[in-house]
Amino acid sequence: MTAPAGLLAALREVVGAERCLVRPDELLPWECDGLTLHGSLPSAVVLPRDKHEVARIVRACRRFDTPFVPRGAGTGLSGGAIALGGGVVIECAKLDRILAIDVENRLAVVQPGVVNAALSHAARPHGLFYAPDPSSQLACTIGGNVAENSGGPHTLKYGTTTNHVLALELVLPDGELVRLGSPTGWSPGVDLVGVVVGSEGTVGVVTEVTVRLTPLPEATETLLAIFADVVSACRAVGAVITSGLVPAAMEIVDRRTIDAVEASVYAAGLPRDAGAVLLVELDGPAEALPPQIERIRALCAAQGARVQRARDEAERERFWRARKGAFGAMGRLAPDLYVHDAVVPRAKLPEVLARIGEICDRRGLRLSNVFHAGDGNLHPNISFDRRDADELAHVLAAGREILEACVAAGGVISGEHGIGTEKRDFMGLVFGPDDLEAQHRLRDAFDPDGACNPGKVLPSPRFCAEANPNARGYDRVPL
Amino acid sequence: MHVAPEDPRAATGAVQASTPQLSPEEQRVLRADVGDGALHEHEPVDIDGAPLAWTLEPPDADALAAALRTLSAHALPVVVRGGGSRLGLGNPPVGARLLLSTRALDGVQEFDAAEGVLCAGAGTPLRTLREALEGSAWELPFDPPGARTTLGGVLATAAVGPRHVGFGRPRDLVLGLDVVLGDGLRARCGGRVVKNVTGYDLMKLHLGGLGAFGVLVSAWLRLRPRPACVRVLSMALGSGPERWAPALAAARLPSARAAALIDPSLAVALEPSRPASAGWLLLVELAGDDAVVARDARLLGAGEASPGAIGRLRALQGETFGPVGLRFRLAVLPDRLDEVSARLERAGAALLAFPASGLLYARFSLELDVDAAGVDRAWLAARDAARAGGGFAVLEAAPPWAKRTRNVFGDTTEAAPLLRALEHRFDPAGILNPSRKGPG
Repeated sequence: MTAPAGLLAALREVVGAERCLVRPDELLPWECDGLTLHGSLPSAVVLPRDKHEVARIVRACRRFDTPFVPRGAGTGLSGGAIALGGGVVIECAKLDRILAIDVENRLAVVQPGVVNAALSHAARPHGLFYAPDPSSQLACTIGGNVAENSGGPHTLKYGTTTNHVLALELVLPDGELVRLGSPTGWSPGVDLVGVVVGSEGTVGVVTEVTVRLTPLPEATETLLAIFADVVSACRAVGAVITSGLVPAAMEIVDRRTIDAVEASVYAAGLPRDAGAVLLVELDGPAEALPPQIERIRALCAAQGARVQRARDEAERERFWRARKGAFGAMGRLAPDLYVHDAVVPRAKLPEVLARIGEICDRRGLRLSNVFHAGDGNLHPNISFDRRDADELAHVLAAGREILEACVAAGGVISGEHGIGTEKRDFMGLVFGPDDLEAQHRLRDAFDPDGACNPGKVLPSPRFCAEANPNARGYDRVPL
Repeated sequence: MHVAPEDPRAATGAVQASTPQLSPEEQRVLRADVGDGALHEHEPVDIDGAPLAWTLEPPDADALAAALRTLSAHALPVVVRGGGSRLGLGNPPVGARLLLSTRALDGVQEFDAAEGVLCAGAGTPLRTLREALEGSAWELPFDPPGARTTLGGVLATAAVGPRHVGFGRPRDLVLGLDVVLGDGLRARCGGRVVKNVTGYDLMKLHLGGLGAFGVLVSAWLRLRPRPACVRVLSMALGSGPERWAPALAAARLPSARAAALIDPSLAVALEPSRPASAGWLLLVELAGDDAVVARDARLLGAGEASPGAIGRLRALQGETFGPVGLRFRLAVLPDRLDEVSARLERAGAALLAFPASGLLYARFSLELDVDAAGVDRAWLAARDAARAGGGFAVLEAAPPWAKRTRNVFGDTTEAAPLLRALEHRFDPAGILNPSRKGPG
């Protein structure tokens, strides 16, 4: 889809030619997001510098009947930030200012392009941090986090993005600028902030975010429990949850991931003989931690684990580097990596992981697991080579079977990556037609003409019929 | 019902609205579609000046869906009722013909003790939920005022009690909802797991939506681990503006589950033997591991409060102050509580504040049965104080005549067209709690 000449002229009038990209070679970085299987070249990319430019861009797109897609750093993993079938990408990278850090009231006001880790870095001298910490936090932006309701390892204790957003300013799909919520975190009536968080950039373009900052924990302890197999590690997680302990994070890394990490620059000295390791982080008042450590040790030991405690900050960082670098390390296993995302009740982790292993074994696929066990948030990762059409077909078919297994266990098909284009047509696994009708109504209220990030989140008969021709590989897959 | 503001009797509520009736035909279709025993006539229940003498109580979710289809088809507006604790919240209902009760949708459907989650019907009293959790490692993280409060009521009003500092708000605790929309469409959202971004977060529309976007059928909740140790402490903090800093520090202690600063006139309700000259009262409930509670108690340096103090605090928070009082709920930035408080005190308010969350309840007593000027003064004082505090004020409890000429949620906002668009899609016939919600 080519942008109408009149639209390009209008966009250039708003942002100037240098911030309005139209040549295919310039547009290439915006062809896909972190889910590289799905790609679609936008008609244009514009880089606004303030909210008024965003509003004018949206109005120009509407005038020329061209869809638009808000985008942050493009680290999303569900194909949510691509311009499906063309359209204008509104790239928020230049809206990157921290407008205020209010130490007394523990909040910050930021533009959407502020990088997640940069906010915590800026807050740290004041004894505060921004709690949601997706693994991509060195690159991903707060605006993208708002769109996806991003999580991260520490959401077990601190919650996801929606628990930390107090107020929003956004440009609605009709070009109107509205402020929602209150810096107090309370709402006089309907909680529209909560509706916008997690809406995957389909209800407008967020231009300002007021977030809660959290006091840095007084003390932190990190434990590494080494298990013979991943099922024992999952049982230990279940035992910790049932005991009422609330660690800051509980992450499982399986043997294949350990092998990849230890062979990479992220090597942390993880034991090569382990079937799985469980990383447990506890934080809070110093007095609280020693008894909690002992309880965790006992619960892990009951599943046959030996438990190490990080002796110092350097060792703690090393443990975490291994966890957060796992996805990068998997590049060693194969040219492509499919990162899945689903959630199950924690007691079901052992049986669901076993089932996922069977699915991948049956299809001859290389599976590794590194995931937020404390939340029941699985990330089965399949390493593959997209140039092998048969293997790609198996990867995609296994993906559906994995999601079905999670739903059958009482779970859902995304815990933090979102639906985007990737899982749009799997929404029917979780929701019936009437449930989806209610979601359509919500979206319609914001965007009756379907101008904002169309083709995402909700399955539509029109898009199903087109079989998403921009999703590379899907045309070869008997879904 | 439209009340012309120029009619002084109407402005003061001296005109008693007549009780709306259901025609024989309306009774017949409701009984036919919802069930013979589902429709009852009773003594009128007054809701902000609107007397309602009929209640429709669907026995299950399918009957609720049938009820809403029929109510929509026949343009019969309802006021949705759970336990009836919060029927005075919101703007007065206009044009409502009957009550729609969720009480039959009750019972704990599942309690997963391994996972710490629970699913229950919207009509289930919170008391029943607490009983179901007795002896388990989990507690119900809701403690709003009101002995009859149901799960649906607490969610639809996003109500919190003194322990919200530790528990969080309903929006942080609900994992999934089953809802029937105004036209009878039954839609589930969320799920039963503790982390979920599968589709739009429709739950947020219903939590605090005052039943305007749908009627709740059931909800999955995240429970909280029961603390090993609980202590309730209290201390006097004088009457100068310097009281707010230590109150905020106390409320932000890691184990503080509830923390309130109460002015001398209200503090007597908490500690009856306390002289008013003792100044403002800080009441703090610490909960958690023994070692942390002990440390925080040491830091606080306060004495043990009298038994039942948190319960009395909750009652005070929810008190409606009879027919001639006003209660505002203000949400402000914590570091502006001193200024907000000073403004409200000058206007004659009695105050109860939760410093950590910036929530503040202001009570105004009126001199006369019909003191329109007094209401105006209180309204402006609350509004201006809230603005100075960077937040907002909602008029929560007031005589009907005091509500009728204003939007209790405050000024219309720029989000109003969006709210109208949502209402139109979720309640196309406009039958759910018409006119109650806001702002806008």
